Amino acid sequence: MVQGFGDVFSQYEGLLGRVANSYEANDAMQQELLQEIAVAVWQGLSRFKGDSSIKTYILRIAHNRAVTHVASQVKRVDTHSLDEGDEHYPHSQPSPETLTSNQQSLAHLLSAVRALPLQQRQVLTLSLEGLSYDEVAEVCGLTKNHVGVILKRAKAAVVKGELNAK
Amino acid sequence: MQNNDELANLWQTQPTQKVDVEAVKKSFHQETTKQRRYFILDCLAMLPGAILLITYWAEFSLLAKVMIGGIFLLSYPIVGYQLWLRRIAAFAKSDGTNDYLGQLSKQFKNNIRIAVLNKHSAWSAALFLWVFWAVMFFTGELKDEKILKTVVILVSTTIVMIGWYIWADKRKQRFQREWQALQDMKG
Repeated sequence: MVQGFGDVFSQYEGLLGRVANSYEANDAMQQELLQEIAVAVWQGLSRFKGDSSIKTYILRIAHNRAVTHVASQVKRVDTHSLDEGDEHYPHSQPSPETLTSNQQSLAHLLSAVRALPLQQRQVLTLSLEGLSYDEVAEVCGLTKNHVGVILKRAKAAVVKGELNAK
Repeated sequence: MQNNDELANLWQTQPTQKVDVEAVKKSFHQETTKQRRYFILDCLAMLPGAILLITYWAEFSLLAKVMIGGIFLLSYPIVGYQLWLRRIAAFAKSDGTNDYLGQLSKQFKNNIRIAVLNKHSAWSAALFLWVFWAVMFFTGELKDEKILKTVVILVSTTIVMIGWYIWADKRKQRFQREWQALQDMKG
């Protein structure tokens, strides 16, 4: 029933990395948070009973761990604000124009996501990971309708944030 | 602005960090060991006082026994209250991220209360010791040859208690900042 630690990480490493990115902008802090999330997921795997998908289960653990991490980092300055780290995304598209455009869009998106209130941030990022309304509702402990309302607000805020950034 | 699929596609293109599996394993074992050590320390912390009391109980006068008994009776509800405040961290089980946010917020509040409790128990414990030994001195129960030793112990204990007070105050401030950061993030 329960996958091994190594299997889970090889399958969901990117997913957990994106959770870390949605809370921390600085590279070193992202790495630190990702490690904390990984430890929490490992601890949580032993309690996984299989009554939900492993993806939603570890996402819940990851977001909870991230919230604790960010709150406890309050002494450190600018732990989740946009910094120069956001401009370091590697080029992966063929056209230089598209590359720049994608990089900027991604930087604006991440910046806008990190500026969202927690609940909106969690609902939006879970949705962007391909979770259905039902799954987002399960991870967050909300009703499906509530998820819809929060998601609509989050998207509106992200659009506004992106437009302001441009 | 992109539609939902475009936004999701863009989201998926972000580069991510790699998990250092060896560091995770090391950290996991360290955390487990740390929690076990705290548990053992909590249990052992009461031991020296209890041993001293059992050993010297017969030598105490009625007045000393009443004072020590009084402080012990007073300490039980305080310890009980502290354990009650720790219950969320120890036994909480959240049904979702939303539930967790509420619990974390409560836990920060309780941590502030625990820190305040520790802060005030530091000076009150030191004050009790000074009062206790002053009473022993004025009632003649503190023998002359033990005065110097007692003063050394009292001064050392007071220094430790001052350190404890400062530590508890710093923790209180830290938890207040963390609670405030959480409220700010909740929006």
